[in-house]
Amino acid sequence: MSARRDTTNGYILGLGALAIAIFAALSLAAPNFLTFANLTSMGSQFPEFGLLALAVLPTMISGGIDLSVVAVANLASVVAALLLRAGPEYAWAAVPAALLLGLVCGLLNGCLIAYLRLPPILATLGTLQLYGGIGIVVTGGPAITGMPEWYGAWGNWSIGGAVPVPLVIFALAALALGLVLRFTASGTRARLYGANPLAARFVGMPEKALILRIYAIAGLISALAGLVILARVNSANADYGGSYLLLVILINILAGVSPFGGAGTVGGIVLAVVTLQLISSGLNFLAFTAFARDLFFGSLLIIVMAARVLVEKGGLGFFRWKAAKA
Amino acid sequence: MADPVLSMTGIRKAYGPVRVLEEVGLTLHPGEVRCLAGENGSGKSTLIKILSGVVPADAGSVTIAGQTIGADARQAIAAALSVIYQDFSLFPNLTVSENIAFLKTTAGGERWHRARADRRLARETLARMRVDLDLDMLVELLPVASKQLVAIARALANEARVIVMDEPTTALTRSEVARLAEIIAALKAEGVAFLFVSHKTEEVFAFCDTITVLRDGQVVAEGPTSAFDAARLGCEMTGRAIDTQRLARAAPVAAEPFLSVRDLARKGDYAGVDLDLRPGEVVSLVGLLGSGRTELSLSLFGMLHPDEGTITIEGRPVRFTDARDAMAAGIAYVPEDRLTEGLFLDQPIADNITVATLSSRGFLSRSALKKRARDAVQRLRIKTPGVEPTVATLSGGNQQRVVLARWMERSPRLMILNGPTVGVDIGSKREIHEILLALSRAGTAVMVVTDDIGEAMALSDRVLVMVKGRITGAFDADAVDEDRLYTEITGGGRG
Repeated sequence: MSARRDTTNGYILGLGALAIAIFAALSLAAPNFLTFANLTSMGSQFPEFGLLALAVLPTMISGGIDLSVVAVANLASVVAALLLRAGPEYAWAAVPAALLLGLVCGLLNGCLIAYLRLPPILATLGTLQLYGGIGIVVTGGPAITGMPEWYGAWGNWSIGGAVPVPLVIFALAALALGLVLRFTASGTRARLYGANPLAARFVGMPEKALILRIYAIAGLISALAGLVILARVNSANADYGGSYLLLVILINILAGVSPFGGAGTVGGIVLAVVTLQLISSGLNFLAFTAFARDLFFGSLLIIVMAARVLVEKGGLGFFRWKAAKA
Repeated sequence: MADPVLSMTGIRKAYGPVRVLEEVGLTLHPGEVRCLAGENGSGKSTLIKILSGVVPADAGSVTIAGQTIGADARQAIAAALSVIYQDFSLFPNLTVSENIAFLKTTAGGERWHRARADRRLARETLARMRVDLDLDMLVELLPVASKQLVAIARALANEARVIVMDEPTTALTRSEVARLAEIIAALKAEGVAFLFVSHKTEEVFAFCDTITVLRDGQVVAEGPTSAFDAARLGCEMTGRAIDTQRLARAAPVAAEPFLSVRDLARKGDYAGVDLDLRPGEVVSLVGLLGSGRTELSLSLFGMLHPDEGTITIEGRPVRFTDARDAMAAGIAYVPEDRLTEGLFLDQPIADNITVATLSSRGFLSRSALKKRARDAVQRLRIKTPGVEPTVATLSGGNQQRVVLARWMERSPRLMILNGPTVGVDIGSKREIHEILLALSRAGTAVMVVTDDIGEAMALSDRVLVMVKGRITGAFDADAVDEDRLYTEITGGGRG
């Protein structure tokens, strides 16, 4: 009779309230927090890992995961950097080539999962090493620098002096992904497939095409993140952002995306990214050591997940949980 | 008569404004088998939860073996009551003996795991039941009927004096049901009392000494089984008279089959199958679990691939690689296991209804999808406040209607249903049958795969019997009776 209560909407609202509360608290506690410069700086920091979190979202909704997103981003940025450095006659191809590469990396992930039926976590763990390894071999290790000035410029440029370009890219990507997930057959299918792959086969869902599409989207958004990183850092490094992978998965969990598939929204990702950025900046402002950041992130994640379980199941007791199942 | 081993008096329970149970009383004496009958939503599962201490009652008391039980399942287990749920709640990765001994030893507070003692307890308990099972077999490898026996043995090993069984025969074949009846008779003689929760009339009459009928949270009838017959029981459960007669049909059956199967074979599953399904006709394929009925029907839907033989649709040979091909040819399939194969449980009803008819081009209009779902909900009289709640919030009968609605959206030429009314209460069952007949009258070919002979008789024009992978008999439903079919599906007709 009684199913799990669907708390997704309430949870998203709670997350939004939390973000606002942190924002308000920091504005009061740290006088320099609510300054133009600080807000703009925050707005140019989070888009890169925000984009990576968006890339993971569709794969998790479909019951999988993509661990290779950071490696794809780095490889895309290396390829773009090489083309940019090669001279004006190749530079135009940098952005399309990077995006195409992301797409191909994603399709390869999809093939391993759809055709060889590898578990997504293993398939993408493998390609994480593979794509990362290709990047290291191509660059020989050190970061690629010496990009034309015009490319690095946009990464630190703000529209009207207020809205950083990376933030605009993140917003557009979030909007596009949100539309795809909510208003296309593929988006609906990805969610239903994540909820019950067997039932999906019984309604003739195009399983392989769907998986290819999902991981291709993940690869494409990862490559976009790579381009943003390249512009912001002004160099391409094959092992940039080593701590991003776990952060990106944490963002998805914090965003209310089900680790078992079937649930997750772009809105949740945006709120989770903003919340973490606020906490991170806040810690700097309150003069905590940078080492305390992980401590805070970890605690927040555990508290949020525990609170969610408590609300959903209406208690922790094993037997009550049994009852809800029966 | 001896003192009752279980008595519940004046039980009341409400969830918010909804009153689920009102002044419900129930007693059970040692050696008694009582049936708690009621449709889905009658309150019987809530009553069981109160009985087992999982949910607290608002008022009333539960006494088991002289001990009053509060809201704690451990108290109930300690007071010698065991509930065997439909999924048996066994540990699939442990052996038979470990499962049997678990409640008594590990959960009973023993600190050390003693395999020898476990085995001895398991062996003695199975001997009490006169059952022979391999003690070292992993439970996940056992057939369903044996898992049930392990669950009963676990209850007995824990010195249960009252065993509550939820829908105990749902997954059993006729011979397995007979075996269960023998075991229960033996345990009755020892003074163990049983409470069967059921809405299947056959098993109620086969097993039970006494019946308590629950409807809308109240006890509406109670007495010895001899005071009831199928009609009265159905009437008390639903509150209206239900005739078990065959349903009116009178659909014109087309001469040319929509789908024909010739000499179809799949190694280990079925062989030499010939089959014709005509528009306007309802054909039942009856057979026991393992007869190949499910494999055959999955092959007609492209989910399995036959090794030999042909499938033709309107004269053209076809070869389905997956369900998509079969769907494109106008075939719909309602799977056997609604919960794992049919539904996306934690997803909205609207998505569950429209999933097979999503247009791949361009953007979807959520409001148009919801409107379509709402229309279907209305047409099939699915009881729900809206199409946004998850399908998990619906009762079994309404969930099945969601699956039906999904396929009716496609206006299929052939609808194959595997066990369409398993776990559905009598009232809903009848309505689902009406829906299928309406489909058939509108010119859809309908094939019902079932082991419920009554259902086959009520619905179909023709009944095909499947035994050990072969179709061994074909009958005009007007010219055969239930007893004959029972003999046929167990292979009794041909030794």
